[in-house]
Amino acid sequence: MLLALTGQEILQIAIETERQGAVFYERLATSAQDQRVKEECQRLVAFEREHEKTFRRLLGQRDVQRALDSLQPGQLSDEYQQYLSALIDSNMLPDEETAQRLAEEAESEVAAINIALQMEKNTILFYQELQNLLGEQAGVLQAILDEERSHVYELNELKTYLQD
Amino acid sequence: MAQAGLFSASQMIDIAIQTEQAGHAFYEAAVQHSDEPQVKSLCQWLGEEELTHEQTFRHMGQNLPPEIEPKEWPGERAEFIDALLGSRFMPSPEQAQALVQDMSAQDILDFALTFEKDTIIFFYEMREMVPDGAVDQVNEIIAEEKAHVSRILKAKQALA
Repeated sequence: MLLALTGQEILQIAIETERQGAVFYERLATSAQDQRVKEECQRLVAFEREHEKTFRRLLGQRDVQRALDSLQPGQLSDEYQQYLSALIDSNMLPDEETAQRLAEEAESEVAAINIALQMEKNTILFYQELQNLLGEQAGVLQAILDEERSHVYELNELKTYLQD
Repeated sequence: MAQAGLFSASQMIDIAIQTEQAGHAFYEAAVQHSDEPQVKSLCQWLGEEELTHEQTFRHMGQNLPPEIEPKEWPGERAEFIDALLGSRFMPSPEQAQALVQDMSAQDILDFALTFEKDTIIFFYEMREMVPDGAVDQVNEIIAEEKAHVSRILKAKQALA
């Protein structure tokens, strides 16, 4: 077990990450004034929901859970486990209420995009480690990681557009 | 910054050096301005680490084989690297001084956390670019940056 979490719990964290991301983007799509921001957020909602479905499917795959459950604390340094813990604990959107609040209270659309950028980057870091840990079972994560990277690009483009 | 998705190892190493310099500038300013002893001490240590990393990258750049070809990333990956670099705030020493003036201890730690995470993501990309002989060094630095993240978050939790 990793960080005293079961494989199921780790995958649940990924599911919640995607779910809260969708909540954030959904709220921002509603509150944003700019049409391009609305459309981009609606696209991102769809992606996050697909990712959530993918992680739910992984929850049902015994090989994946076994791969995570088989990790022994001794295999990973304390420092590495602390880092993983830090990534999970510094998740910007720990729950639905926070996701909605951050989207609603952002002082501007640029500020909201900055929050989204940090959120996506944190997700990339977490999934990169999950990919390292899952080894052979990590195939599906590559596609998700590629999509999260494209979100960073799209959000940065959106930010540039808003600031021009 | 990249020409049609083309990135060279030396270009990535130059960016790594600039990253470490920006980190050091911020941490030095934070040491000078923060009243919180824990934050001062942590930033002192972080700043020293960034100086060491800068030296490692300089040495790496000096020892790059001349015949390394720039790597062409697939379009989306190159766009991501450009976006990653474009979405970071890399303060000069002067900007860092101005920035920390209005920062609380938690603000300093929040900035540091974001900075370190951005750095780790960049170094993961950079690792794909450097010669095989330099990969271990990049991995060591990545591991050290991860330790920075852990310590910064612990400091945030202690202050909260």
